[in-house]
Amino acid sequence: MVARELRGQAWRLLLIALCIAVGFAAFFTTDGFSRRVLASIHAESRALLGADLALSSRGLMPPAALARLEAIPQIQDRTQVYDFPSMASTGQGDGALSRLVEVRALAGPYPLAGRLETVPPRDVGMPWGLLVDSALAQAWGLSTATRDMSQAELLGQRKGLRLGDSVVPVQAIVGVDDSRQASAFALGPRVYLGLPLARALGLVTPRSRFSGHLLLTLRAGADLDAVAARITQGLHPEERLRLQTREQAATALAQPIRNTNRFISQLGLFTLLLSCLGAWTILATYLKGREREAAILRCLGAAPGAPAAVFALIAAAVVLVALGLGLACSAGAARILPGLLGELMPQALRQGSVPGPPLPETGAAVLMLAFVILPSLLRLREVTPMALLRDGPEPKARAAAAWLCGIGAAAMAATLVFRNAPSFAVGAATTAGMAALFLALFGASRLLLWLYRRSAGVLPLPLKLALGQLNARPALTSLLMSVIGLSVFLVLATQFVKEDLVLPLATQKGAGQRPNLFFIDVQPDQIQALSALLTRRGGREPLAAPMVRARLTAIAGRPVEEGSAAVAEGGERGQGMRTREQNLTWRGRLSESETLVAGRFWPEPGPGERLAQVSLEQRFAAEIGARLGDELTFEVQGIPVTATVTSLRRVRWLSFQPNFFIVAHPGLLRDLPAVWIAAVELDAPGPRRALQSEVARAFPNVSAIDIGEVVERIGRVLDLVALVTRALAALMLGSALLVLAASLLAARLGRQRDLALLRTLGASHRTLLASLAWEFTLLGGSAALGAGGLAWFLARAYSTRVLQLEGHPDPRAALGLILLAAALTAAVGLGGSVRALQAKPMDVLRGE
Amino acid sequence: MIHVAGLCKTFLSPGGEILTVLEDLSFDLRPGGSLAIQGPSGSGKSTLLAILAGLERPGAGTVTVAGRRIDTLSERELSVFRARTLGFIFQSFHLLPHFSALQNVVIGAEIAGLPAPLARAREALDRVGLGDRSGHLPGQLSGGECQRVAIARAIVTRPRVLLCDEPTGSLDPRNADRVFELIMELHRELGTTLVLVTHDSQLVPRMEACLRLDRGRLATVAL
Repeated sequence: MVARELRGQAWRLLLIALCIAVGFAAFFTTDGFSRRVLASIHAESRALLGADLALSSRGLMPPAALARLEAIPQIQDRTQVYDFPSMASTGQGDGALSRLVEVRALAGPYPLAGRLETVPPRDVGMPWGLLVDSALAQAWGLSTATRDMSQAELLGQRKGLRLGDSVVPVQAIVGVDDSRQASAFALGPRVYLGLPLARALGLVTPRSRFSGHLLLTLRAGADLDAVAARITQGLHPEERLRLQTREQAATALAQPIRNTNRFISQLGLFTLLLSCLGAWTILATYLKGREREAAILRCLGAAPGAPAAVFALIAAAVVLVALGLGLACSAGAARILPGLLGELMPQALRQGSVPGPPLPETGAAVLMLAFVILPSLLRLREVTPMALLRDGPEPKARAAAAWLCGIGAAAMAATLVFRNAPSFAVGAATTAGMAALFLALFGASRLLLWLYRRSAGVLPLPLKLALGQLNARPALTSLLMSVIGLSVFLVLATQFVKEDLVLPLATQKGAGQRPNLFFIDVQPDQIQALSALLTRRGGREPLAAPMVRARLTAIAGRPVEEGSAAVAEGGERGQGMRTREQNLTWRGRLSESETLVAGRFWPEPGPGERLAQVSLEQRFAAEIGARLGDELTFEVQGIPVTATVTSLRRVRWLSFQPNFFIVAHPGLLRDLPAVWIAAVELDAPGPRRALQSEVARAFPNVSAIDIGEVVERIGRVLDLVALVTRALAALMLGSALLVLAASLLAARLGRQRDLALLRTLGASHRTLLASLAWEFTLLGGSAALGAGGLAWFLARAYSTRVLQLEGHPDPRAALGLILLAAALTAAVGLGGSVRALQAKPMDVLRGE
Repeated sequence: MIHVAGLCKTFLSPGGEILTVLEDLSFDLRPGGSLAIQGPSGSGKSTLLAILAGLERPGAGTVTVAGRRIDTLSERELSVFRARTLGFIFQSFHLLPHFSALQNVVIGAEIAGLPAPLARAREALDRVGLGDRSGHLPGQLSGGECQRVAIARAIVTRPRVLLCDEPTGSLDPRNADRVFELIMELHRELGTTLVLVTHDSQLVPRMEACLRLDRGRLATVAL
């Protein structure tokens, strides 16, 4: 019986299996990808950190700390590295190239873990020259030098680089560098050199700004956590040292990736839940259609549970096929995805093995399906032989059992969501958000159907017939509309938010208000000349701001020190924000990218006027625990400065304009030691490079930061997220269309009978085709339109309230997708109904 | 009203065999007349009804209904012919389950493109005694009431020919009598030509003529 049914209903059952398979495939693929990336990060954590432990400092490593580490026998190797940005150039004359690079000065064997492969192979423990990133070497045509070459030869033959005031030969080109694999957003390519050389060149001095790391590896069998605990215990607060284990480094690195992963996994999970919901509807329709067969089997003497057992086996076979298809698709996708991601995913993270399906989640999904199918099987169990002989009350599953199954299915769905969430609160919020979104779309669908029913009386016949069909199975229609709507919502909401992020940048572009080239460490006596140069080259006056480096010493009279009460507020982030070095600026008025949100900004000051007032960025103020009226005390190179917080500002950071957390009254800081920052907008990379070189020649101490590449990279990441979201939403739309096709197949007899009847009453083929076209266009179109409206509204709210952007998503962008959804639904619907329309009316009508 | 001459109809069986369903069938029915069609299962009753309704094409012969050779009409013309000339009543009622009783009747008038379809539908429902049940869905009506709605739908266009396919077959004897009396009453009042396919021999004497089919051939003509 099972085999006969599987053969006879093969296509219908395969379509149902496909509906479920789409969900499994989306879930397995996203979950597998996410776990593969995170597992790779953790597996490669030692190589990515380049050690087992790293002790970080804000300057030279204190000798006392080094001495303490000597006493720990589990430490096998140690090496010091110092990182700082510097301008590198190929010379000084015309045609010389300049750019900011990340310099790593090495004071010992390197790397302690992971790979650093050079061409030609070199022992990089204490290089006599530079080890240059292959990308920089390729871009500038650099090659390796010999030790006896003169400066002129080095620069002339592109075998050396100018760093600061010195020319350093290129000793080797770095091919593979594991510690750089994880740096998605670097200021520039990295170059290595020995610490003695860096000191000799004056790049590392006690007054330099750099970060130091003492990299440590442990002996075999040493307990990493125990050693880490011992080192942490010995740390002195005044040394400002921070210990990071390889696991912590991997976790910190994984955090941004984890968030993106989680978002994508949630979409995959959402696809699975929707396909289960769709499968439930189709399976319920399918099993209801089998009640007559169940009655026949009972008439032939089958036991009460036999028909239900038969169809339970068939349902199990369908779910198994769906699982197999889902696994096969996800295995295929796992092979294709790394290639699609390309350079956005570092090589080390692409090498992880493909994980198997998550068994608990798969089990929960299968259980959820079992719960939703069970009431229909119970109905089959209640079918009596008398059902064949006379129409009686419909068999009903026991209400209590149906409720229990519903609760079970909901519990499984919630389990899936919670297991995928980082915390209970996020899980609860996600569940509530998903449920609210689905209910909103479902409710809107029901409302729309009600409106359609109310207005059907005055509409032309094809439209009236279409609306009648839509209202014939309102629950199924609403479910289909919700599933289609959800897929459209996800695509459009992502698109709208992305546009809100990108459009302000695009509209600023070309007006000199979106700088992409920054010049830092400009001395006060250089700013006028530099501004003049930038104005000549950029065509506009640069955006310029003074910058005073200071340390916050007290907030509202409470001292800011390690371990103090003020520091304890706001957690680790608040502590970091308070104790780090602060960059202050002064201004007479708010900039174009700032908005006053509280207090009063000082009026444009007159000559010699001095007010002890500062304005704080609102989030920064919250994090350091400062309020309006609080007195802040800073220390600027030993000079104490006290000022009252008189206003809070909101800053549009995405403007990329020079902005600061702390803005002071001009009179307060004007006489203190300051440097300047200047920024210009130059779209073409060529002129940007030329300007960097020119500034480097004229002002050797000034560093240039080109954020054009960073902005492009951010754009590519946003594009990737949008692409993945669209791909999953397309799967959802595909799933919705499969559910539509399967439901058409399941309800074919009813539709065939209605069409046959209408033909008998004299309705022409044309009228009936028009009614079908209207029905499915309205189904897909109105679902997409409603979802598009909701996406526009919510995206606007998210952009304006959360991202604090001027949200102006263009609704026209949604039109294409709405039309596509309507056209696809109409195509699938018409394709699935043509056979019903072609059946002979009398055969259909007498067949019942 | 109905003129059938030399009507033949064959079908190709799934095994490739030619099955003759109707063979050289000829008969006439006057305007306003009534005709019962009887015969065992597979005798061709339904095929004959389908051909009279223009839902099947004859293999050979001519079929004239209400003065029109329907065997030569295009699909489009047949649709218009069915909508304006014929009324259909089925054994299983065949109401659109998601439309109310009134909407089921309105649909008939709208397909025919008649003016004031709503008023006509209300009048037809009043005529079958269901004016107070017009807002009910078919699922909320009894079998007898459903069939009366189907009758209202059939007469809403004031058809010249009423084709009934076992109209009382699904009803209990009491409801069957009521429905049949209603059909006969409307037939008389409206002057509609009535063609009735039935297994119920008790109904046959109430008709003017009876065709008895056997394997596609005319076995008996009773006038």
